Amino acid sequence: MKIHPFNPVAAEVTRFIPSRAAKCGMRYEIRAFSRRLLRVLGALVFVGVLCPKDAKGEIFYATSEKPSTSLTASFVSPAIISSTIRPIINPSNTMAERLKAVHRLGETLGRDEISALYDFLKSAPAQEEKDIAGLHGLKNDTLNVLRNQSSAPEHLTDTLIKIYRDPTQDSVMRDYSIQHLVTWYEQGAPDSSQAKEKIRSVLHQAAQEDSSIAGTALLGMHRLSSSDDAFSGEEIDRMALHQTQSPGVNRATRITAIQVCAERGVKAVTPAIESLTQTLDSLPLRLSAIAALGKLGREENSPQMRPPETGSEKELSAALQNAVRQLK
Amino acid sequence: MKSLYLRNFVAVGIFFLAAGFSSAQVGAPTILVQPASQTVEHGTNITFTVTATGTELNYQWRKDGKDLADYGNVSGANSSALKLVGVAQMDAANYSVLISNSSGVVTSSVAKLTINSITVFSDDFESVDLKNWTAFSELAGLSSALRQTAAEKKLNPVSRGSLSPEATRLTSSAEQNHKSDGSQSALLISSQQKMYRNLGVELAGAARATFWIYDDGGTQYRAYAELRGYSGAGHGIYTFPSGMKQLLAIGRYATGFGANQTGELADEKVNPKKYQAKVERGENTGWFNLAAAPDCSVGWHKFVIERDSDGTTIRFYVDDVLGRTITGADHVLLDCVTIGSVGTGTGVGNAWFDDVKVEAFPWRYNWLSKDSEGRGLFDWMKLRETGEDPWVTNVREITSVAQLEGKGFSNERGNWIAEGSAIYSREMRGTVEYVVNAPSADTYRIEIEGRERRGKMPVVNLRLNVWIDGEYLGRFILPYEGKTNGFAHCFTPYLAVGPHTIRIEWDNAENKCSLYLQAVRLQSLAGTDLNGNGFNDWAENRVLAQSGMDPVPNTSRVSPASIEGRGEYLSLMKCSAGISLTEMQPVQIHPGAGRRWYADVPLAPNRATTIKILHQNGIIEENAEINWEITNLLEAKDAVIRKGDSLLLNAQPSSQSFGAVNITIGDENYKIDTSTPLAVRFDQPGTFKVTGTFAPTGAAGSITVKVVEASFGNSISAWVGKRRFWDMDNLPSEVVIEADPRLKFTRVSDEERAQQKPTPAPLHINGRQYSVITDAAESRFAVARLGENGPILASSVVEGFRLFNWYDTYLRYVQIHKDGSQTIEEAFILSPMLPNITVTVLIIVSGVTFDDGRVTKTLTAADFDELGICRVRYIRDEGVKTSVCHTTKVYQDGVLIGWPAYEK
Repeated sequence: MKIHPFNPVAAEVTRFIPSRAAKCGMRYEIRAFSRRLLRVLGALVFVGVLCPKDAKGEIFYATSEKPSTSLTASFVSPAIISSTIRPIINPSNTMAERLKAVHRLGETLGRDEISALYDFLKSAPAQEEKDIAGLHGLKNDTLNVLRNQSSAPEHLTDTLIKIYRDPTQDSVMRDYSIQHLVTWYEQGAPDSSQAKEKIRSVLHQAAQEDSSIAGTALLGMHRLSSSDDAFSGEEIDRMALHQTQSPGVNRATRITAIQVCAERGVKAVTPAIESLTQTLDSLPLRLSAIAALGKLGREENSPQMRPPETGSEKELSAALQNAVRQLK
Repeated sequence: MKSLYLRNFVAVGIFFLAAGFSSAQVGAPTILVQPASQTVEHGTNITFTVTATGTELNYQWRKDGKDLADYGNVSGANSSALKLVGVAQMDAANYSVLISNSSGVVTSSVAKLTINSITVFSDDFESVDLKNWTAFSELAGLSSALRQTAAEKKLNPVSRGSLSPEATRLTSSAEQNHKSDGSQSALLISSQQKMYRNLGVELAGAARATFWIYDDGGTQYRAYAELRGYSGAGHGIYTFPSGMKQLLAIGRYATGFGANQTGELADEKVNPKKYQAKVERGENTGWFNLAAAPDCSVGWHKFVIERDSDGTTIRFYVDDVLGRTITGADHVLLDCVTIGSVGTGTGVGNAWFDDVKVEAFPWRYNWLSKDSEGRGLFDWMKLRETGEDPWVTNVREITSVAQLEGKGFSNERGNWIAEGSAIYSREMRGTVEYVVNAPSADTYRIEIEGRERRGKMPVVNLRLNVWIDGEYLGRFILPYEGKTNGFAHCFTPYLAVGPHTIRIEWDNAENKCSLYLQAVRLQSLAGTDLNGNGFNDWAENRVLAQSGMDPVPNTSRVSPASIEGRGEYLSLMKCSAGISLTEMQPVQIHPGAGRRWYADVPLAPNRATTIKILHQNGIIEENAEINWEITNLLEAKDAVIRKGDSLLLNAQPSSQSFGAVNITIGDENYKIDTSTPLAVRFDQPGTFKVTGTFAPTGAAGSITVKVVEASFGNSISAWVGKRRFWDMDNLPSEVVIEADPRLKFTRVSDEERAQQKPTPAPLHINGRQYSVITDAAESRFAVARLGENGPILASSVVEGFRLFNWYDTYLRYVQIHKDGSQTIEEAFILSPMLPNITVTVLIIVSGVTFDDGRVTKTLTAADFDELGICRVRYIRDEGVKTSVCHTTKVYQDGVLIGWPAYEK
């Protein structure tokens, strides 16, 4: 089913679910679809690339997780919040206004401003927050600004680690903290001399979580290992192989672990992914397996790269073509 | 064809290369007339001038100490007359000019530019009714549905109530009128009512409201005036969370602060001897005393609320004395003014008001649309394109000499659909070409009429890149309002009679936006011809400002001679040289740094070489003659020359008219006689000893010739507005780099380079690194000169580009699959398409792949379509809660040159 443009559909979800009963087939179909989409969207908390932008273009509004706690915006004393930060944390402003305020912050924030932003990042959403997806986008852009200060903000590494380790944070913010830790490491993590060591330790810990964060951490470690010997290539290989071979591993992590194996040339993974090239459980899992087999397999794997008789040939075509080309 | 004949025989030593560069002694600049301070009305065109003596003067105007450039509404930043079109508060500053030449530098005194405010509302209450004002109450007349909760009231205490029948008007009163001319003021008889007036405009930044209020010393309990900002356009019905966003009050409050909604400012208690003020929203809110202002007294008082340009700093004055400054107020658009009074207990409160005035200090003026002549030729365009003073009328008539409907294009790229006589684009971007016929040779204006097809609001910038006959004219914005067409204008170079191709590229990145093109016109601008040479003055000024050859010296020690000048339409230029006008050979012209050109003209020995330059299809012809100077080795100085330069060598004593000469260069020996000097080309870099001996007398002399080679290495591409580094290959110490002034171009020291991450590859022996930020997605050039102002050794180009990602384009669902996974598409746009750019996209979150199953993607030019669009698809597993998080990095030849501002 094609959904385009996105916004009206999302809006439809919001309107239908709470108030309307499905009374006719047509409506039921829409509602059923909407429910399915809601299930998908309910799991989505867009950030960064899917967050609303300044009152123009595509805006994704998705229903989202409930905040784990309900705090008001009193997490930081108003006396120390500068007028540059206030519009960002004020939930009564529109998300577009708040994003604009973030994008105006510049590269030379003062210590108090940075401290206020840390408090904002660490806080659970205030009760007044209506757009949690937008809030995640806002926090993501705030982290971008903090990482790109002309002088490294003190305690940025510690703040990100705290967010990751805070069980009251939702999974999206915890995942983002891992992503930003990886990027911060790439930038040299110059906020303290122990920062890199701390980040390596956290990534190692996160890569063993039983959630999709493990895949994010593993992918980050893999990328960082190409330029930093402090990451053990053998250990990353072993972790990626384990996560690929274990059916019980979180599926998102498994999808990513297969690609880590492929990019690292871990041929031992081949038997495990051969069967996954035909799986109907998950399209991205299958695509990842096809791409990995193309990279790691032999020419005799080519027959496995035929599209299935029915189903999603179209979705597989790019991966299959690439894989077959590589196998030859 | 008519031509403006200019001759150019000024002898200035621009490229003598004897060791130890020398320059003529010139007088240090002295300022005769300093620039004068000015106070002008909003939107005025202004000129600051300076008069100075001295030769070869360079001007650099400064605004508050920072160098200005010709950009936006500023022109003449490097001339004796600085011109600003349509000034506003953003231009209010201290201006000065730095004047320099090789003998010294002098800075002018400071000239202050003050911009008067605009009165957006005033009422002297001399009219027979109070029609300017509407009465309302904030406490009465509300239906229960409109009443606020206490919490809401705290955030937003104002609502609309019923009219106040008691409010009336005061007739003239000598006692209660602050002017003694018998004029009237207004009496507000009220218990708790106020009267409001919507301003009809929304004031951002600086604003000032002045009120005269009568203090009767007793019966009047409270009387005050306010500036307000509502979420709509002025006073409106209260609805949470819209309604009122800001309230700034001043007057006599004289009661305890604590009972009102927002309470008092921290630690503030009412002082009944003082006047009071209030800020409703911000970091410091509540009522407070105007402690520094005069005490209350019977009579008329002038109350002023003044907001700074930052929108957050508020000053309150009583009788022109500053009573209090409050910072951190919420910056809200102010759109309403009120006056009000409250009686004592249940009694009425009479209050007298007069001369209410609200002033705005707009930060910007729409100078882009300022047209002093009212003839469709904007001032800025005149200043930039015609080189004329924009506030002098000299274009009499604008006539469309050729018009093509939108659908009359001859060529296209993209997906264009006809709609009536117009066309619109179904793609996000596109290009169309029109062939227009110029009825006569002239400089024309191109008019492009169109809009966003659906009248998209807020208005999107419709950016059009325009070329004529392959020459880039620039980037222009097509303005529009709703579904009303707008017009973009640009000027052509001087065109020959006949057909010409106009190319319009819609350089767009915004999704769901469609360019609607109604028509394209070629317009003739008839104007004055004060010198009677058959050319419109504006057109003549324009081509002369744009095109010309720098002064050429009488002689050059080397061949080829390096000549250069102004000019940006190089394909419309011709350069030729020869020993007579009948034996001219074409000479190649190269782009120089910053709308300039240069050429290497081979010289003939023993005879003058004639140089002929034709600019802009021949509208300007310039001629010059130059002689190849003989290097007499018996008396000449050492030389530093370019690789490939030739010297004309001889060794002839001044007392001898003829004889044999031996010339030795390294191991090579040449025998000539004095009548035929030896032309020697130096093809290898290095240092050579050249010796000449006049055989009949044995007189000998020698010089050292240093031959310098320079190369930039690979040209570079630069993302507009983003800094990148440029490693240059081989630039010996004698070489000076000169870049287009539109580039931010600075040399990077070894220490700075050592700090760079990732560690850059080592430089070559004579390598240098520069930091470059380009201003536009266009070509900008840099040249390597042999010494300051020396001949040009090499040139290279910085190709500007922009990469747009989801933030500008879109990120959208394409499909939800049966397993719950989703296909999501993002559009990348590379503008313009550059073949050596690669874009690497790395997925950084688990459970997401590209549609080929991988997590790493490298986009090359082949992945972008003819419009510069590449659509990348992500597959996200069901249950993944994050976005399709990824990073994007742009490389050129393996060197990281930028990444988007907004991404993970």
